[in-house]
Amino acid sequence: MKALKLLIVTALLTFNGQVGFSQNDNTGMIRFFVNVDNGYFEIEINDTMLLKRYKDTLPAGSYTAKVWSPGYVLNRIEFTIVAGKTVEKHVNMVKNNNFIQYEQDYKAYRMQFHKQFTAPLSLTIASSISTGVFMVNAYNNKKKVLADIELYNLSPVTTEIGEIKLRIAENNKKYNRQRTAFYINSGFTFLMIGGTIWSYLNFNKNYAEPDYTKDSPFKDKFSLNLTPYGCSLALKL
Amino acid sequence: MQSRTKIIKSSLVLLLVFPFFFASCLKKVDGVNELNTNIFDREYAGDVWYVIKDIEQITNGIGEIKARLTIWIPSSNLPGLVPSNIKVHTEGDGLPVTVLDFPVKVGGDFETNVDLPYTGVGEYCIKLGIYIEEEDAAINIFESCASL
Repeated sequence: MKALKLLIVTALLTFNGQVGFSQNDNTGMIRFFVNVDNGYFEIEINDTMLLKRYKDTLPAGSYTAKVWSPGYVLNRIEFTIVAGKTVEKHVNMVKNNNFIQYEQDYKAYRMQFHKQFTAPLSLTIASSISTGVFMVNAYNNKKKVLADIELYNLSPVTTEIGEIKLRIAENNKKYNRQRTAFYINSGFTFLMIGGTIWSYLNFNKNYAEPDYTKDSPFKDKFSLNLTPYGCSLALKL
Repeated sequence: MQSRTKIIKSSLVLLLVFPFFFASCLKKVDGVNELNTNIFDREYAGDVWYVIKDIEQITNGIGEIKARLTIWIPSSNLPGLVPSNIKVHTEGDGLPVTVLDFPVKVGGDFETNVDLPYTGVGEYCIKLGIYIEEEDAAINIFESCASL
């Protein structure tokens, strides 16, 4: 049977990180410096309070806390709050073996992804773009050739006809060169497209994205939800 | 993941279709090697561009007998932009080299008369070419004959 969820509080107020305590003169501040790569951590204080930020104000006294971050070993620490003072606690976190393995597997997976998909896709796109450039240039030159042929058939001026014919010969040469490049590049692009599809399907068949469960060890105890409309704290008993 | 695969496949298919769509526009341009149909072109390779429409014996104003050739340049032998007058280099039997004006007629054809010295019944020949004023030279000279 699922744990019974008890909704404790739903209120339109800002959650200050304090549950069960109120500020008074007997309080002090704690600052945590948690050394993690991902920038996220959770701190469970005295098995009752979940802190998701790096500082808070607590009543004076001794505390034990568990610090957790996705991929890191749960770290137990102790600290003492002195009234009116700020305590700084440096927490060095150690990656767990599963996460180290996951990182290695994921790196290998991404490497294969780039090798078998990103790289061929990039080449295909580059080839397609160059095909497009050849096509546009060829098309422009063809337009020039056709316009000059029309002009040739209109002109009654011998010197002008000579110039037109020179232009036609030059642009037609360019046009033929560019359309040849277009056809060759198109063929290459088709091959690249086929190769990319094959490579991608092959990649999907042989490689699965590694997964790593990043669930908090504190998730079954309580959860805090902050929304634009208020906040709620739910305890699972 | 499936929708991503679908998008990638669709994009690749589009890339495949794209060049085919435009490839038909890039055929070889016809007629580039046959640019020799304009009579004002030095490399004109067509037939005689004028026609001896008529030949007759006439007596001119000072009593000379002449063989009059009516020369006609049909508009179909001319380029699209028709000038108001064509200067034509003319040589004929007993006729010194002359530059004749061929004014445009109604309908776009050009026509003029050339009088050759009368030598009796027989064949009269004439050579006409397109005269280039800047060079004082003629191109595309053709000879035609007509019998009186």
